[in-house]
Amino acid sequence: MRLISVTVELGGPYREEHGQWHMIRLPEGSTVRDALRRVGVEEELYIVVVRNRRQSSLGEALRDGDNLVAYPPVGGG
Amino acid sequence: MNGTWLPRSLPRTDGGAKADGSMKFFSDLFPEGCLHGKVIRSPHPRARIMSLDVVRALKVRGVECVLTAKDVPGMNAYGVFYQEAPVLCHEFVNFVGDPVALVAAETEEQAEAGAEAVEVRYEPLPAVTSMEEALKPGAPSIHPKGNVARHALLERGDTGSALARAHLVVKNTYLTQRQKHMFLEPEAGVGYYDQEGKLTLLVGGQSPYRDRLQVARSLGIPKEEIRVVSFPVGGAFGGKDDVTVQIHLALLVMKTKKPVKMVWTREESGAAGYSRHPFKIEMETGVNEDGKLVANRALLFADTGPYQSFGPAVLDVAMETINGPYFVPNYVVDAHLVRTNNGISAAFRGFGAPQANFAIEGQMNEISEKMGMDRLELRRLNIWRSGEEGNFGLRLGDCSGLSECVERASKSPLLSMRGHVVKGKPWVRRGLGVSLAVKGIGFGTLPDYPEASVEVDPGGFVKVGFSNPDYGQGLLTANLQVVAEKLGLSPEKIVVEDADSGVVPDTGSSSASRSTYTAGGALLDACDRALFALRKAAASELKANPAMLEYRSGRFYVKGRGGASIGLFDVARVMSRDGGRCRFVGSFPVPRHPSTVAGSLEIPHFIYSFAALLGEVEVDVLLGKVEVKRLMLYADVGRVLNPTLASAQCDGGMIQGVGYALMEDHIYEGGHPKTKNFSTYLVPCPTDVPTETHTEFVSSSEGTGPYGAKGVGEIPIVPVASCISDAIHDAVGVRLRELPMKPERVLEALGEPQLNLGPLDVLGDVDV
Repeated sequence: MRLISVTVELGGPYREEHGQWHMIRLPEGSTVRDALRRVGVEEELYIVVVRNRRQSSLGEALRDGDNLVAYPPVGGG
Repeated sequence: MNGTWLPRSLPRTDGGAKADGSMKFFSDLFPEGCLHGKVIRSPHPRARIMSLDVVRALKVRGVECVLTAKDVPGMNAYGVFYQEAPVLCHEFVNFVGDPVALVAAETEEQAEAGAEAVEVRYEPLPAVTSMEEALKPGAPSIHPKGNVARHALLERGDTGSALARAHLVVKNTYLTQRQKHMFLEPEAGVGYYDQEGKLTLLVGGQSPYRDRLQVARSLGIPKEEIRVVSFPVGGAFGGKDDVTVQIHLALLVMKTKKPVKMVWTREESGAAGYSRHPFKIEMETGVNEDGKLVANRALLFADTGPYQSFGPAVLDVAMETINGPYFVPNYVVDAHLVRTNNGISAAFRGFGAPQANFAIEGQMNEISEKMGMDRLELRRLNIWRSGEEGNFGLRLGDCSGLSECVERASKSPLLSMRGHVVKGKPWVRRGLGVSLAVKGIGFGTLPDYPEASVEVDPGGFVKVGFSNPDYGQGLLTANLQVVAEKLGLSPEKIVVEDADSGVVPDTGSSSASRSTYTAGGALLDACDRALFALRKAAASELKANPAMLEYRSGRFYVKGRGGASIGLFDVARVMSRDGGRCRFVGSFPVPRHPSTVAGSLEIPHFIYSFAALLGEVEVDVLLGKVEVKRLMLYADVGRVLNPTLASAQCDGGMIQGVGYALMEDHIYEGGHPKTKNFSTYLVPCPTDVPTETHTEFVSSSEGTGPYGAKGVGEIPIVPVASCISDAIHDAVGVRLRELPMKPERVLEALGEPQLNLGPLDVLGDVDV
């Protein structure tokens, strides 16, 4: 099975819990959700996911070289 | 660079309707057949719920439902950072105002009667009513993990040694109070199922998309089934950043299947609404013989109430700004977010920065006095400089605006004021205060990817969509101007859509001085995308290469081909022939540093706004009353897009700062709020407003901001309290380090005023 490489950055509390930067390899056809689970993020509701600098959904299929950023919409000041 | 529409003082797009009263706020709406919702709240700061009986309430005429914790289908908790505030309390209540049950009835009076008929039996428990109590060994624990919700430590260098070697060390304790937002429209909204069965919430909030997620999570419903609209909002200032009525409204609509309206009373807002965090800050600051800061040790405690809400981030901003806009080679910042059974503290304009500013600027002014140095000269020696190493080990970006603020302030006519005596009023002394301020724009190192939309309508107008609600700042107008400038269109041709999660993209919250910066950035990207697509379509119509087209003021022209051209809206008409929409969503990845300072959540910010403030006060030494006569703000907020609106923001911020400095104080006694209404909670009235507030914006342009803009929402409030404190000292020789500086505190500090002040010279040489 062909593998794709995806970088994942976690922000806010996810960063504290699971680390900030992750470079992972996933089977082709994997989704944003698969990538986030791989790095330990199970949350599916209170989360903002950005794929290649655009807001994304968990079900979107990933491509080789994709960049993901995921964070709860916590906000600061 | 000046454009056609920037900078320009266009009137507010929403100004007319707000001024003539025709704008309907959500509390003005009465949907047909709507029920009225009421919340039954804890009267105790801490108690166990022994029993909760709704039988009698259900028999009250007109009551449709009474809901308790067991009726909450989801996780029964909410909170921006940590989901720990209950939607409805189950076993314990943790502050006066904690929600216990909900009632919906046909009329407001029936809802009130129903609420009164709910029988709750409590077992009062020992409450933690101050940070000192909370931190005592053996104190009742409000949370399973203890009463310190967050402890953070930032360190650099060897602070102990540097302080030991310092030429002068100033050590003080600063106390700041709980400030209420006191927006004109209390927390309010209307909920209903729309024709498509979507749960729709029209609520005065600051972040419709995040509110939607909080409702979805707490009630266990898919976010796609919820729509949140957050415009218009009758004031917010941070007090509507976390959820207020949203989840309760949604729950009542879900249970009754009817429209429901909920408007908190002012007293309810006073108890259950959010406040600014009270802080206790102990600070030890050292300088060398030249006046260069060598070390700062700061111990911070912030009262967040029982639930954290925005507390973790507020603590971060206080930590980031605790050294002011000054380079400090050695520091320890030891910060604690403390739980108490007082009301919930959360976001408030400035977000921890005004509290930190009160301390560090107090230190700077005392140092200048003891060193015999000019107050601005001391600051000039220590301020951040572009390209130099900052306090967090990173090279600083453009800080030239900060230097310019200091230079402009040093040339202010206010500095020519001489003497302290007011002619004809021997009991009044005049003084001049100085302070600087810094506030980050946006969320620091937290990721932030706002989106916004532009739709070119064949009907001859452009629709602009972003979800940061305008709750009075003027950002609707500023962003409209950004699009007008970019597309070369008259503002009359641009319509801004409401902050509606069902219509516009997710631009994030209106907070952190970020709204124009982020929405403007995303809108520019949306415009670029629109022009790219429209150019291709225009080229096809004009039978030209897209590269040969030039766009000017709403038309595409073929270069070198006489008058061949096509209008923007004509192209949109062509593109929409098959029923499609010319709608383009843009994004703006907010620039941030790649790594976060260890021990912090979001430090450092990528860009900052800066200010220098001069303030003139008159102190009545017999009554202790302080009158602020003039405030002159020199501000770096990036490029100013709409000078009138930006100045108005600064006026509002400074006046709110006067309230914070002199009178506003949400008092809790034994865990009970004592100042829930305007009758007891004092805010500045017209007579309290300075005779003159004046803002000068320094020349500045932020490379990453829309047409050079940064943000203006918070910086004007940040330096006010410290500046007024310094002015009081200049007038009467006493330094007040506790807010608010109300008359009794001034009198107490003065002791016997005549003894302290020397002879009162009625023939003083100062004109009034």
